[in-house]
Formats: sequence, structure tokens, C-alpha cells
Amino acid sequence: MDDERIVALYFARDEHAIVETDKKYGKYCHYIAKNILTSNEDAEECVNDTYLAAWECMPPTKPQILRTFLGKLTRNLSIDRYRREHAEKRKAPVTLAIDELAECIPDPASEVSVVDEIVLTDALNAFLATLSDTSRIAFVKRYFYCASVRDVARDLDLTETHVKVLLHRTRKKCKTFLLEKGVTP
Amino acid sequence: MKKKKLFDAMGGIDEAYVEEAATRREKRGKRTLVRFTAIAACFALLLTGLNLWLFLPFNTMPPDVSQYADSEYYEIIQKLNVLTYRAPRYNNNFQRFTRGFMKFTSVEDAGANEMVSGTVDGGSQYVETTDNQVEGVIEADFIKRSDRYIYYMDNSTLRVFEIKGADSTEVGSYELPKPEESAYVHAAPHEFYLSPDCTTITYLLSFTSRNTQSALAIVSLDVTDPTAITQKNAVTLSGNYMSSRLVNGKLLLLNNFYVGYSLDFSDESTFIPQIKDGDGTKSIAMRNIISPDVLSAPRYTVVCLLDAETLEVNGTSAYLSYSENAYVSTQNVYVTRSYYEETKDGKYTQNRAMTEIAALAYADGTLTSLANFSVQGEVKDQYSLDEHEGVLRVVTTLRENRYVEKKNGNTISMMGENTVNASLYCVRLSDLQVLAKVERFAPEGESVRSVRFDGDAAYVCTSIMTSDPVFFFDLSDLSNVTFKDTGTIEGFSTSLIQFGDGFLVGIGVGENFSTVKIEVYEETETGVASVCAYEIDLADYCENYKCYFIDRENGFVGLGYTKRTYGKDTSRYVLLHFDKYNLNALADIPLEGRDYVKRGLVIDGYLYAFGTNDFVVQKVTN
Repeated sequence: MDDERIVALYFARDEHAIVETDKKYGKYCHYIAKNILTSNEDAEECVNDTYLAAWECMPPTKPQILRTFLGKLTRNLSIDRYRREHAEKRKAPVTLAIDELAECIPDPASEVSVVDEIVLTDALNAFLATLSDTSRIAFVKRYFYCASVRDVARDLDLTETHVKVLLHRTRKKCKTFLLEKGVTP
Repeated sequence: MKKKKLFDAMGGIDEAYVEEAATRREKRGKRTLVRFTAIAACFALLLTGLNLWLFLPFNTMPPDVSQYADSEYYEIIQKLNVLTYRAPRYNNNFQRFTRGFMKFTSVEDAGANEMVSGTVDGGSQYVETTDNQVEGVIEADFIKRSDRYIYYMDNSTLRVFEIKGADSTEVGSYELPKPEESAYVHAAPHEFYLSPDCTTITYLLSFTSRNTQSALAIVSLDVTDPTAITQKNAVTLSGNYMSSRLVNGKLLLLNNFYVGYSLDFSDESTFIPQIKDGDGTKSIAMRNIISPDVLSAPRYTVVCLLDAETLEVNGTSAYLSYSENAYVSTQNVYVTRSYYEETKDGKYTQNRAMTEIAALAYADGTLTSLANFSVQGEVKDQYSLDEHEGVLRVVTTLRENRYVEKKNGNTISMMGENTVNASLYCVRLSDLQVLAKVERFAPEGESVRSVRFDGDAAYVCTSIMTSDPVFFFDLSDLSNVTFKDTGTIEGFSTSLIQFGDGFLVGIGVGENFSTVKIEVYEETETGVASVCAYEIDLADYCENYKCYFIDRENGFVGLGYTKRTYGKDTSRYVLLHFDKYNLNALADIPLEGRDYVKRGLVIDGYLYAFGTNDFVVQKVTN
């Protein structure tokens, strides 16, 4: 079922919306939640929370891209849950991934949001297009899917050290790129 | 917050990258000794720079651009300078940091040519395969044909098949080369045109160049000999591809060119769209840039008129605003942009969807701004607009919402109500007077699913869930617009196609979303009646109208679909025949590929079906 029809089900308050969402994006959401929460049970609960949140958001929200909308919900909910349950462990896997991204920000203390998310995403897309295949895949696995460095290394058949260096260089490039484009998140 | 925003923005990156990363698994090989590389030490450098960065005062005025006063683009430079400049809220970074720290909250932001042996000669005749919206205004597609050959774009390979019934074979192919070394080519396949004399194919390939600019390569190929296809000419136009048309041997291209916020006005390529041809790279001339008094976005809609065979640039114009949909009549181009108009009513916020329409004349080879106006609601696609005898007819979905924000701890929720309906507007282009409008004609909550204009008639399908009416409007007298409808029927159509003899074909979904339904309607004296329907259970299909094979003369409708079965999906193509009473399946065959790339044609009693690395010929009997 295509996304527009699934969204239409949400707008019509039809509970099939959740069934169809689970069929199409269940594994995807679970993958993200599992990367962040590490526990299958927690991930399962978080995915269910995602569906509930989607149900409450739509309407009035009408997502442009349902997949990324659900992905964002899953990540936000997973991160919230993780922080609640592991408040004392500041360097949890996902916290590390987000902290790493700070290196990409040209002006981290800025309160002035000068770009909307579309522009930032445009810039990220353009940045990703400049990368080699390996750098791009590593960057997306790490910061979109929140995969651990170990998993990225395993998937790309590289050493963990190699992946860390690769990501570090890519973050620096990203920062320079955003600076050149005048994009400040 | 910043890290999080960047983290969130990562969620919106191009799906191609997401898919690429999700599916990439390298084969595990033997690793040699782990090489320890130097640990990066940029944090110290960051700290040093931080001191300088914290106390340098901000400039609060837009940059001085008077040094560009001699530039022909000075007017554009001044406008973009103001539009893209963002004044800082604080005097310096230290103040911004400390104030920002106090305000911190945890509220969530919600090539190479491949030669194949075969026969060589010419004299082919062009046959239209695409069901173009406007007669004579040809649209690009993945498939085109002559009376001898069928040309199909299979991912990034153009394949040529000889039309010989059951003996048809591939006689030539051409792998599209990258337009630039190390360019990132956007998702294939790439649409193309076949010239009326069938000697030239012009394909359109979107890519991101090494300097991170999005661009469109327009490349013409000599296909006189399908066994030895060669490149003829190439032109590059900056921006993201939006749409194109081929009219009277002229290729009309529409791109969106994004300027960005950090501009270097000494480098025209950063803020003026570029064209690269055999004579080098050129900026669009100032006289060809249409600049509204107030800029809405630092983006251009670039319209380029080329000779379809030689790719000689006949005219280029840029309109300083971005667009989402393009409708092209024989005379004019209409580009649309949707936006929301927000008003406050006490504690409530009201949002209303609007569509801005810019009309530009192109028929004389230059682009002239005709009109710029807004209508309420949003258009679904190009079929929602139609120009007829100096009047633009537009069907929109009205969307209004009224809500109040409630804050509960760290969570912000929105409580309110939405209203959705549909309207039709007829606007005279000469003076922008609304000659007729039918507002809120659909049952409350229904949005527009598909529209088709045909002379004095307009057909509109609306739905809220899986039931819909189809409306037939009589627009022959704009002072008295009348309409009939089918009443509630199961399913809804995502495409409506006039099929001749008063019949209308709707392609959409059935009573539940998992059924594909092709239904034929007919106008009666009292309303609109369903004549017959053909349904495929547990299936998905492509909603792009170019995916459908429509042969009105012989009553054929064809489309690709994916049959959903537990454990295994099967990719198929179905060909239907309408005999004025029933829709009958003449063929239902396996065909590889995603639904949007599958194409089918019926020629002299044979179905030719094309998919990804797949080609099937089958005799069809009625």
C-alpha cells in the first residue's frame, strides 16, 4: 500500500492505518529503535509507541514522506526512552552518535535558526553527493540508522579504527561544507 | 538543540542514500594487519578558535554589494542580498551562547557506447506512445517508438527493439555515460524524447556535479542506425529537473535552481542559473530573468527552450520563485507553488492552503510573464489545471485547519479540527477575473484524487477513504456551471482518462486499499453511471499516468502491477480491452521491475511489454 493511502487511513481514523504501517515500516522502525535501545523488548515497545504517536499526530500533521516521518518519531521516542532509563550513562551509543554530529556544526552556539529543515536536508544531500561511496554509506549508517561503529565496520568490512577515522574526516568535511553553503542548523 | 536538528535533518536525506546504506554489505575478506592511524586532535584547535569566535562583534547590516553596481545582475544581487541575509539576534557569540544557555529547553522538535550487430537503414515514422495531457505537447517518457523500432530506457541503458511480432529482438543498446567525471547521477531511469523523423533521441539526466551543484544534462543521440548509436550534442542546465515538453521541434525544460544563503556575488554561478553548451558555460542574461517585486524564496524556476535536434539554445528565462507542478498548454507554461496562509483568531491559529500560479507565455520562443495569482486550495498535479479559450480552469483541494497549542511539560500538542473539500475555479487570463467557481462541491472531508479536463467538460474524483463520487462538470456556459456525480461508489480513481465515445476510465483502488480497480464511467441523463470494472486483489500499482498504455481507438488499457502474496511478491503487466460493455483481460504476464518503469504497447496484435532487464512479446487475441 502506498504512503498516501496509509496517511489517508490515519486521517479517516481507521485502525487499519497502524496495521498497514506495521506491515510496511515495522522492520524499519524496529531496526532504528534496536540500534538506540539495544534491547529487543524495549525496541518493540518503542515501535508500538511510534504507531500511537503517529496516530495522535495525524491529523493535523500530514507527513511529506511517511517513512522518514516514522523514522524520526521512532528515533525521538527511542532517544527519550533511553535517556529516561539511562540518565546516568551519558555516553550511551546513541548519545555518542549525536554528540559526534556536533562537530559538523559551523556555529554550535547559534540561537538563530537560519534555515529550515528542508534547506538543511538539501545541504546534507548535496554534501553526501560529494563523498566516496564508502564514506557516504558509513556516514548514513552511523547518523541515520544510529548503527554502532562496530556494525558499520562489519558491514563495510573495515576495522573499527578505520571507520572512526573515516567518520571523523567526513564530519569535518561536513562542517566545512555547511559553512561554505552558509547553512547553520 | 543544534546537534539534534542536524540529527533530525539526517532523517530527511535522499532515500537513495538511505537504501544504499541499508542494503550495503561487503563480503567479509581477510584483513591484513590493522593499521593504526593517527588520532585526530582537532578539539584543541576548536578551543583556540572558540575564544576569537566568542567575542568578535556581529555585523547587523546586509553585506555591502555596491562593488557590483556595474554588474548587469545588480538588481538581482540587491534583492538576493536582502532576502538571504539573516541579521544576528545578539551582539556577539558570547552573548548568544549565554542567552541561549538560559533559554535552553528540552522541548522536542517534533560512456562507453555499446555496439550490437544488426541491420542498418532509415526512413522510420514516428508513432506516439505517451498519453500526453495536451495534444501536440509531447511529454518525455521511458518508452518511445517509430513504425519500426521501440526505444526503452532500462535503468541507464537505452535499448532498441525491432518490431517484428514474435520474432522481435533487441537490435541495439547504448549505456548512458556520466555527464561529468565523478558526478553523482540521480536515480535511473531517465526520460527521453524521440524526434519526429526518428533519427534523434534526446534524454534528460539529473546529476550532482563535483562542486555540489545539481544540474540536468540534456544529451542528443543519433539513432539513425540503432546498432551504432552515437552522441551528437549535449547541454547542461543548472538546477533540479522539474518537467519538460517537446512542442513543434522545440524542447521546453523546467528546472528549479536553488541559490542558498551564503552567496558570493563575485561568482555568478552561485546566484545566476547557468547553461553549459559547446561554447562554454554562460549565465542567463539579466534581460531574461523575471524578478517579482517581492522575492518569496531564493530559488529560480528556469525555463529553457532548445532546438530538440541540435540542442542549440533558442531562449532561456528564469523566474525568481520556485515551483512544484508545471502544466504546459500549446501557448503558455503554468507553474504552481503551494503555501499556507496563517491567521490568528484569539488563541486559535488558522491555516488555509493556497496555490500561487504563475503564467508564462513561451510560444514565440521567449518567456514573457502573463499573470501571477493565487487560488484557494492546493493542486494535486498538472491535470488539475487546463487552459481553454483564454480561461484557466483549476481544481483544488481545500484544506483548512484550526488548532490551539497546549503545552504539557516538555511536550507540545495541538488540538483542533481540519476541514477538507474541493473547489473548481475558472479564471480569465486577460484580466484574472474569476468567471466561475464551484466551491466545496464534494462531501465534507473529501480531497481531490484525480482530475481530467476535456474541452467543455471536467471530470473530478474525490474521496475521503475508499469510496468516492466521480463528478462530471459541464463548463460550456461559465455563467451556469452544472455538474452530476456518480454518488458513492466503492474505491476511488487516482487517474481519470477520457476514453472517447463519452466513456471515462478511472484507474485507482477498490473497496479496500489492497485492490487495484480499473473502472469505466459513462454520463447519463440523470447522473454518472459505472459501466464496468476490472479488479485485481492484493495488488499495488503506479499512480503516474505515464505508466498506463492507453489506446482509445482499439479500446486498450495496460498497466504494470505487483501482486502481493505472503512471502513473495510477483511483478506483472496486465492488458485490458474495453468492448463498450466490459473490460476483459487479454494478457496478464510476469514482468520484472518496479511498477513505475514497466511499459507496454500493442502493435498489430502483439503486446510488447518492457521492464527492468525484461522484454516480453505476446500475441493478443480479442
